[in-house]
Amino acid sequence: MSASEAKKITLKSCDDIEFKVDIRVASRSILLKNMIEDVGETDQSIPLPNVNERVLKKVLEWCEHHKDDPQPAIEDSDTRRRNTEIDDWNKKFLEVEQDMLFEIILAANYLDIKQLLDIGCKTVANMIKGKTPEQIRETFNIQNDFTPEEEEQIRKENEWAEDR
Amino acid sequence: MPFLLPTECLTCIFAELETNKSSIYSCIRVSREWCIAATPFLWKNPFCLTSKDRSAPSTIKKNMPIDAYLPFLSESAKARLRLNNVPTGLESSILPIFNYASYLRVLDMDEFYDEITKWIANKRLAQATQFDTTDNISYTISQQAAPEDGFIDYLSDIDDDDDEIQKILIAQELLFLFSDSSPKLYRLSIDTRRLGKIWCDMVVGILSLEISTSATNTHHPVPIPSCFSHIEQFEFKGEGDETDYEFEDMLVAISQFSPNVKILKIASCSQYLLQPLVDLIGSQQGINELVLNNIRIVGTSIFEAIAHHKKTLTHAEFHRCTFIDCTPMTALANCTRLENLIFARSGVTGELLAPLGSPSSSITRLSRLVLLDIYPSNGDSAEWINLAQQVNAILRRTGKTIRELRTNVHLTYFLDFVDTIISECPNLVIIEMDIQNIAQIPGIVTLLRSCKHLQTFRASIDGYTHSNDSVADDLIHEFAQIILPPLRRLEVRKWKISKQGLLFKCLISMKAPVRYVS
Repeated sequence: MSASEAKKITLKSCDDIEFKVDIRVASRSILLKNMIEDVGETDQSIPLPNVNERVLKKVLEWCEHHKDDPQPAIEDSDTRRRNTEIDDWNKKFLEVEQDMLFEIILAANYLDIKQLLDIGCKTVANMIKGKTPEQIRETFNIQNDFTPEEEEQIRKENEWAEDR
Repeated sequence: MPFLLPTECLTCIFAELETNKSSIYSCIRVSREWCIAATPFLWKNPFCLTSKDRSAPSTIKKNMPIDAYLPFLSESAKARLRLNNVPTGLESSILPIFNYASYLRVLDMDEFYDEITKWIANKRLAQATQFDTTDNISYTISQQAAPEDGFIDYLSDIDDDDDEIQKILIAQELLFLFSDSSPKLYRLSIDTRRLGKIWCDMVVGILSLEISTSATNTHHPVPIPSCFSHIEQFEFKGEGDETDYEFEDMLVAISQFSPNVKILKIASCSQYLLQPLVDLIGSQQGINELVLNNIRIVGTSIFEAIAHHKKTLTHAEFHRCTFIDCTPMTALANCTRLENLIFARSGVTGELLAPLGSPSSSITRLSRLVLLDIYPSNGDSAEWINLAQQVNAILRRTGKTIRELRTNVHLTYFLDFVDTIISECPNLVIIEMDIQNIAQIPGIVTLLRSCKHLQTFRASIDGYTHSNDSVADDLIHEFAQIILPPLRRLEVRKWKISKQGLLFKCLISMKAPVRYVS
């Protein structure tokens, strides 16, 4: 192992738990990668006010597993290719309670870990497929805040999509 | 636990569903927040019809995408449509919840035409059955009025020209609406062979109008942003004959007003469009993907234009192209980011390809090489030898990075091809190749052993099975010994393998999906 590979930084979760992490692992997060590049080596811990210990541990597990993957190219959302399948490891990794899944997505979004965000969103998208609006509301505990008139107009204007 | 994902995450989720329109439709009806976030994804490409939708309508739908656009037309546009008896059904004064035209991102004129055709047929069907258009319920045609027959009979009473005129009228008004709503269109596609000049001219007309508006507007020295200025993908299919000159304006207009095309797919352009095509390629700021299909490339100008994109081009694809009086492909060899290089059914010579495999070639990121039905233009044996040598040189130059190799080159003529792959391409993940005789199998076995990362191998045994020959049992036995993970997909075509044989048992014992095509 080279000296640069062994370099570590310390991350601190919002509930004050510290994690000593290989820089290569932490650099899966573009937020952390940029921070490390800007600040340089530091013995001080990097606070992550939006991520608790439980979620950070899980996210770092993902980063450790994917530390050698190539960084995804920066693409415009309109042209982005969305044909990546969720492989078996990632599928198993995301077999978690719904609140944990959402917290992983939030953490991936905050830490700017595009691939983790993508597979998290893809997992939620798979949960939506084939469901009626009512079933989606039940699945995700969402309140229907449309007025009956709005609901009817929305239905009418978009009904063409039902059979496409 | 309440749903706490912010809008930016919702957007990411809906992006995953954008090709699944019925799921997006469900999302739109969940809540206000979901409606606002999901609606753009449904209306991004609303004219994409499924094959089921393309058939003649059997039911009357009250609302199609066009119905939601029409209320936003200007009063003069509505008047023009009424004057020409276009069945708009614009009696309702209620405006839709969103200006859906502003979400349009993909305009495939072929699909747009189909949508208009279906919309007009739908309206006529509603009129014919005297259906109350203010009702919201879909009306199914009764069995007595057989849906398709009824539809065809009804249309047979209409003058074809009138019908076409109405399609053009509605298309024109909608194109103006799209232009006014300034959507950031990112894909524009047009097939002139199917739609003809007038549909092409309508798009050019909108472009020209925008150009003239921006040019004459003294308050805006900088051109007014156009819905076409954001186009990142442009697909054009010409006639491929002398009538192509009629479509020159289309390519010229895109050259002038859409400088950000990243994906350019051009098919069937005759010599009449060669210079506009050169100008189009040259006018862009940075093309990533270039696909040329059925084009006779004469002279050096196309490759000189491609040279402008040496820092951005990642994908170059030539289908059914012939190269006349072209100089060697130095322009391609200088493309430092080139990852995919495809020649299919194209006449290429070793001389043309030579720069790609030379030591100074910059295509050191190439990961996918496809060579299907390539042949030297004059076809003599010296040319075949030279072509084979240059293909081997490309493999030597790029071998470390190549992950996918698809080819059907004749191994008898492409000497040392397999040996070159064995020695130069250790990182292949996908191989597709033809095998012409049994004598080549031991080489293939060595090749499979050398490619430690191979996940997919497709071999078509081309040629000798016609003589009722078969792969010898001992070769199958040897082949079977090397079918081990990480190989996850194996396709062997025309191999005679018994279900009791060792290879078959090996295939079955592999848990990953393996396909055997006999």
